[in-house]
Amino acid sequence: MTSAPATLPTVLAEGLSKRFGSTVAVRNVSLSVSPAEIVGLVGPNGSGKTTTIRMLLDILRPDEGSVALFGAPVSAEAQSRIGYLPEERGLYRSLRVVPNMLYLAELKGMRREHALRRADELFARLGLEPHKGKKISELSRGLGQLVQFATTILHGPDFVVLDEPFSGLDPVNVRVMKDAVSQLRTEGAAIMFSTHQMTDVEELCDRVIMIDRGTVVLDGPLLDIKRRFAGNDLFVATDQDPQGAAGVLESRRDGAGYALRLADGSAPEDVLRSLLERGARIDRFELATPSLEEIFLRLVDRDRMEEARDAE
Amino acid sequence: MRSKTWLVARHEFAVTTGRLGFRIFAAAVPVLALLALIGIGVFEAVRGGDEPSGSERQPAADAIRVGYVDLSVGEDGRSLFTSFQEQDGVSFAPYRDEGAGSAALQAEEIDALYVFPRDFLQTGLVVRMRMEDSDGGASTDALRRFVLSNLVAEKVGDQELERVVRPYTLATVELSESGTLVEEDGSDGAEFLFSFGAGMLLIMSVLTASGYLLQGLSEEKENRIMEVLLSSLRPEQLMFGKLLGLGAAGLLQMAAWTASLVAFLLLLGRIVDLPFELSTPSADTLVVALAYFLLGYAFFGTVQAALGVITTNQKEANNIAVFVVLPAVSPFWFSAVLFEHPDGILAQVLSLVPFTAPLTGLLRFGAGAISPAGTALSLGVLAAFTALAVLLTVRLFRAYLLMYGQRPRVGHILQTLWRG
Repeated sequence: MTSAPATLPTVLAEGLSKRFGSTVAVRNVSLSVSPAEIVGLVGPNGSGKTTTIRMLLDILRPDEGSVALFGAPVSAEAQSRIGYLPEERGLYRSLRVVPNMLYLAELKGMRREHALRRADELFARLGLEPHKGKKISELSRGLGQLVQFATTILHGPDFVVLDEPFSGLDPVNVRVMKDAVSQLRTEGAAIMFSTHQMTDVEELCDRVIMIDRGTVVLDGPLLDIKRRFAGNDLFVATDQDPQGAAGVLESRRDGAGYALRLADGSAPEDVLRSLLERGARIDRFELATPSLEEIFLRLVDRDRMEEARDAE
Repeated sequence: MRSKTWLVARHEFAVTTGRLGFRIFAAAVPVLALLALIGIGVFEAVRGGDEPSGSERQPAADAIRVGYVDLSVGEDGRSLFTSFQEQDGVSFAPYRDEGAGSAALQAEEIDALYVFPRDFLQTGLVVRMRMEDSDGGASTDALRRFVLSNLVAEKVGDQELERVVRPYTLATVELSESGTLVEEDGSDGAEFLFSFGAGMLLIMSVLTASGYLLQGLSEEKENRIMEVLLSSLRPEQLMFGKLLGLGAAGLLQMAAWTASLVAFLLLLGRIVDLPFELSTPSADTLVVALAYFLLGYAFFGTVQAALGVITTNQKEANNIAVFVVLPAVSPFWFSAVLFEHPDGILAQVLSLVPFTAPLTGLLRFGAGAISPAGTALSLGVLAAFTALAVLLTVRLFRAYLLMYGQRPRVGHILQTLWRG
């Protein structure tokens, strides 16, 4: 695997826009993915994720903007360093597993003998050995997906795009694939990972890009984003209900503790001091960070509300 | 890095020739030819050489034997049928009366008994007797020769007798407006029929191969593999690769069919008399046939590829392909006109329309009804339209290859074709 220089992002898109008829699918999207980085591309259905991915891979030409892969405009050589697992899975159903993989690997510039050796390694790693002689039509959906994933990474790509890679997989195979994705990052590949499963994004991704209605609404490291959306809420595990403590607007029982919403201008240390003064025993005291799903819903809801307001 | 077009072509060739349907279809003509040959051979063997032919004419000793009873009386008061008893492999044996003839028939010494009554000269009536469920007897031609020879042989010479039996053979010669000889037509249009057969073969191969292209594209759209392919190569590489690979498969099929038909005709000529002379086609004919095949396939293949791109599934693609197949075979509808006037206006127009040019051009070339310049013009027009079709289809490929499950609007298709 050959990596781009560390300072250079593997993929750099600037000002991408794409229109289909009167519909604007993507509007002024800029993004980048660096080597050894997993970026989660999230957004509601129809938000423009797939169109963005297709433009990054030169499957669609943008109306405006540019894409650089490995520091240069997209070329045939650059295409052969890409691995793409689309959301709509597709292999030749009447062909057997190995010929399917070999054909697609050869299209990526891989020599047949090398592809065969590498395929055997992947069959072993992904538990596909018993199935390599079968036709695609004879495989279950999950196994077909694993074969497609193996095909995607067979040629050792430097830029991997995975669109909903875990859908339809059982937990065991999800773990197998997640390990393989992590291994790709360790080997230096830049990975873009599109999904609706926010827990998967939180588990795997270093950075998150959120697209809604064709525009990027969020882009940054996962922890930074969570901190940004954390606000002033607290979680306190204590033996007394903090309702009535200084600065606490609302206290709600949450598992082994209490979720507190603070009044404007109140600081967490004021609450802590007040609780200690009341003689409460405190086992846990932390800022409550929202899950990525909460952030996603909050942003999408805000956009929908703005959309409704605009319509009015 | 090897050419991706070549990789696609190799893949398409391997997949297509590996299909059970392709193998059955390619083997159908050779198998049918072999079965027909066996059937004809067995039939000839069972007939025991009833209708001997060519170099294998049966000797008189093995001739069909029929009997006859001559009760007729000529104008001079003598019997009419006393001579010429060996005719075209049929031996006419005289019997003194019906009883003796019937006994010979029942004893299977003869296949049939012909009774010429007393008033034969006035009525022309002949009674044929044969055993129940038997189809034995002299051929119509042999019987006529037997009768005519006995009636007029003593009055005319051999050549006049031959003309009485077979009055004429028609040959047509046509002159152009300038008075030059246009064509010397054979008595049976065998050359035209040859071209017709070759044209049918060509158009079947072209449509089959281009049909595989349509089917393959529809499958790839339905299988959703298109997106993976397009992340590895350009749409035009995919299209040209498919055209090359499936064209090679079509050429292989046509070669198998042609070889088996040639072998069939050669072997058939050893069993029965063919109504035409077998001859090796000239290099010109082979070159022109190959050119029509390649250009015809490229044209129809490209058009079918365009249909595969703008349709949503195989069923819809097959339905719409009718609009390609019908024009392609339409010269067959006009075969009678083309046969009569291979250099007429209709033939000339059809050999310049890309959908009908491959078949009509080949028919006219085989019939010698088109000049080298005319052939070059026909091929040139076909090549130009093929290039145009390729250009437009590449535009459609770029626009619609990833459009799953929805058919583009006609207006949008036209816009894409026009602006790219």
